[in-house]
Amino acid sequence: MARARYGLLVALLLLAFPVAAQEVGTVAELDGTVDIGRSGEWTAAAIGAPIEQGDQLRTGKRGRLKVVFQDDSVLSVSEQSLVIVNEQVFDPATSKTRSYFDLVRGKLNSIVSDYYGQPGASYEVKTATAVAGVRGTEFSISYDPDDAVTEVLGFSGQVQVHSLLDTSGPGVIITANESTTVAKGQLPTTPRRFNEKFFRQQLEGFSFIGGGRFESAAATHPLVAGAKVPRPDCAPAALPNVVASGGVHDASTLVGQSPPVVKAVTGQLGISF
Amino acid sequence: MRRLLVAVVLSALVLPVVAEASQESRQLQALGLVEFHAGRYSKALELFDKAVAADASDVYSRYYRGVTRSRLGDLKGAISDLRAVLAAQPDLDAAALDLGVALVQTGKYRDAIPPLIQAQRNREFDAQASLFLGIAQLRLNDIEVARANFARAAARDPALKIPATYYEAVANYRQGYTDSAIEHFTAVVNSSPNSEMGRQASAFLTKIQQLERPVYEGYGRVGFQYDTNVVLAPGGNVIVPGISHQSSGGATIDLNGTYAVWRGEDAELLLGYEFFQSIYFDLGDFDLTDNGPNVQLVGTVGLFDYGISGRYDYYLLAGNNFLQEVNAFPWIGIPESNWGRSEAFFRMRRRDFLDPSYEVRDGFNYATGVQQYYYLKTPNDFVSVGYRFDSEQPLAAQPQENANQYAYNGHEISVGFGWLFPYDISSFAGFSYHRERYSVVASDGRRDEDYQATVLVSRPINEYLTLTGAFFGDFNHSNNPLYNYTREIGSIALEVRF
Repeated sequence: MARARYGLLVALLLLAFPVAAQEVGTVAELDGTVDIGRSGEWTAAAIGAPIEQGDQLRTGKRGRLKVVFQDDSVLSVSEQSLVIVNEQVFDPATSKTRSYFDLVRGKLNSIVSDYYGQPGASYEVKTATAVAGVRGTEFSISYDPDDAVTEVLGFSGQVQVHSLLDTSGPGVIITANESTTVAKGQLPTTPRRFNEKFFRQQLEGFSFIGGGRFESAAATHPLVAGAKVPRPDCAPAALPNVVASGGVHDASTLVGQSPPVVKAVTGQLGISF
Repeated sequence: MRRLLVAVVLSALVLPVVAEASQESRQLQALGLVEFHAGRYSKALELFDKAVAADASDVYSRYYRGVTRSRLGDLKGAISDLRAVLAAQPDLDAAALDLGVALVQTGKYRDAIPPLIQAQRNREFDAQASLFLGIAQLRLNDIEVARANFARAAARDPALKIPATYYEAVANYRQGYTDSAIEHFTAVVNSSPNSEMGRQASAFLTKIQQLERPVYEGYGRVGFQYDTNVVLAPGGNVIVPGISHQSSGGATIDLNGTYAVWRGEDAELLLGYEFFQSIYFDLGDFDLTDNGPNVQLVGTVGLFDYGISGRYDYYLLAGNNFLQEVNAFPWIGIPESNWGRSEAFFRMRRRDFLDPSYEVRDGFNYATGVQQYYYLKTPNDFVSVGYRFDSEQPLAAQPQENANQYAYNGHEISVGFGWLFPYDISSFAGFSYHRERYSVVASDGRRDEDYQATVLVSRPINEYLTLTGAFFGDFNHSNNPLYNYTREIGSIALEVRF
């Protein structure tokens, strides 16, 4: 009974003080329209914004996004995509390293960090038709909901691709410069090689300089904000306002007794004699 | 067949290597971006360095390294990176813009123009490129084209309106379009009065006013004062040391005119003439007349203000020749941004008493001093501290034994406090302590300690008239009872400037 009371108390406390969401990544670069969905609300993404577990990442037309996760993995999301950060766990002390993403639509590129080369680590991207799991590699995956087809391209290392029809089988393993597709209700196609030109084209979409020019010297130059004016463009110094008068005269000065009466009467800062 | 096999093996070896390097480079680039956006530029540079080392062909990593170097002040490194980026990818207009900006920052204005024109063609960068292109052209004295680019920057991007308007005003100022310059500078001051650009625009307006002010200036002052102890020997009657211990009301008239013989942007030469007359209601023998032609050169050079003034005064006491005096006065001032001003001066004074009773005091006085002002909010509200050393060196006049009776070395420290109240009421309160040590033999070891207090309140009535009220207290303590005295003066004066 006492244990049940404690359990109830703990449950109430958890309800009263929800655990703070853990930041698992950071927006490193973005371009165009990019939103982050959290707790049912969408907000515009910003450079440096934290990414939390459960967040949804949505890009609009010409929208692009690059996220660096706590395990140093990099996720680049192409335009008109929707990705859910289902799980992101990184604890080097216990060798727990897991990343699970859902690609609802669109295309993403993952540069998976070396941590995923360790036993027990797992990095997976799931679409409506396939799941791609990798260990220490780079790959792209796209899903077109209209055709219900997933395409996976390997850029280095190995990617294991399964159809959702058969997630426990050996699936298909693609290596560098190979691709496979998984249509709805079908198994992955046999890997086929692609040439270097195609490879570069695929990567180009993920390499970009962010919109808004956050890093540009032109946008961040202090003169743009009016905070600084380079010396050549500063106002020439005003001529000093010094009067030749000794101020109000006082005859006593003439025999060396006292200075001019109220010598500041000229209203000038500066020297009077 | 063998060749084909070699090609296949080579491609299998090379392709993954290229891909691996590129992957590492882009991963490091992304990690570097996080550091960059967090403002940790040194760490970001370290990562971008590694990214470039991992894949020298990765233009984006090199671009980010370039902009990071720029943030860290390594403009030379930034230019080198951005040039390499453009060589590899000539259509990367973002790099063209940043290269142009870096070249402007390093004074390579001519080199900056081609990349900025390239960036200007890209709609996304048009406004920023136009602003910096205009700056490059302004520095190259191509002012007409620069002005068009500033107008273009302001039109393309409202966020650049203030800097573009400021620079358009600078271009107008340099071309002598004063009315347009005033209009644009005023717009900047009104939009952003507290920014550095707003302050500079305000300084330009002050400068324009200064350059446009009339070459003739004049002011007159009429004052009334009540003096509890008129100090000076009356004409024709020797009362050494000239302390009357009598009070009197009096009027003063002061007329002063200056003419700017020459006026440049950084200096001006002024000729002036001052006439002064005091009229005591009860002690007419103390009435003093002064005619004082003067000349002064004032200017600015670099961080300094400077000036040298020369003045000749011819005094009459109760209508009789009394004294002629020459002053030479070089000085320098250092305006310290918005927080203060330092001044240092030297003054040489030669007095030649025409009244034989005072000839014993003919001589030189050399003074040198420093003054520091600290602005509390604006230059109108300030605290000042100062020190002055002076040395009175009478000439050997008759009688010989009295020649050095008035020779002394003096030290003075002073503090002041100025404040501008609402309705343009300005005020000043000051206190000084002056200590004089006279020649031991001739003055019998005279020591004076002089405390002076000044309070002044002034208010402009209109553009030309100012009313001033003042109190002056002087408390001199001397080991020679002849020189012990207290003196208080209350005065009110009306000043006319034109």
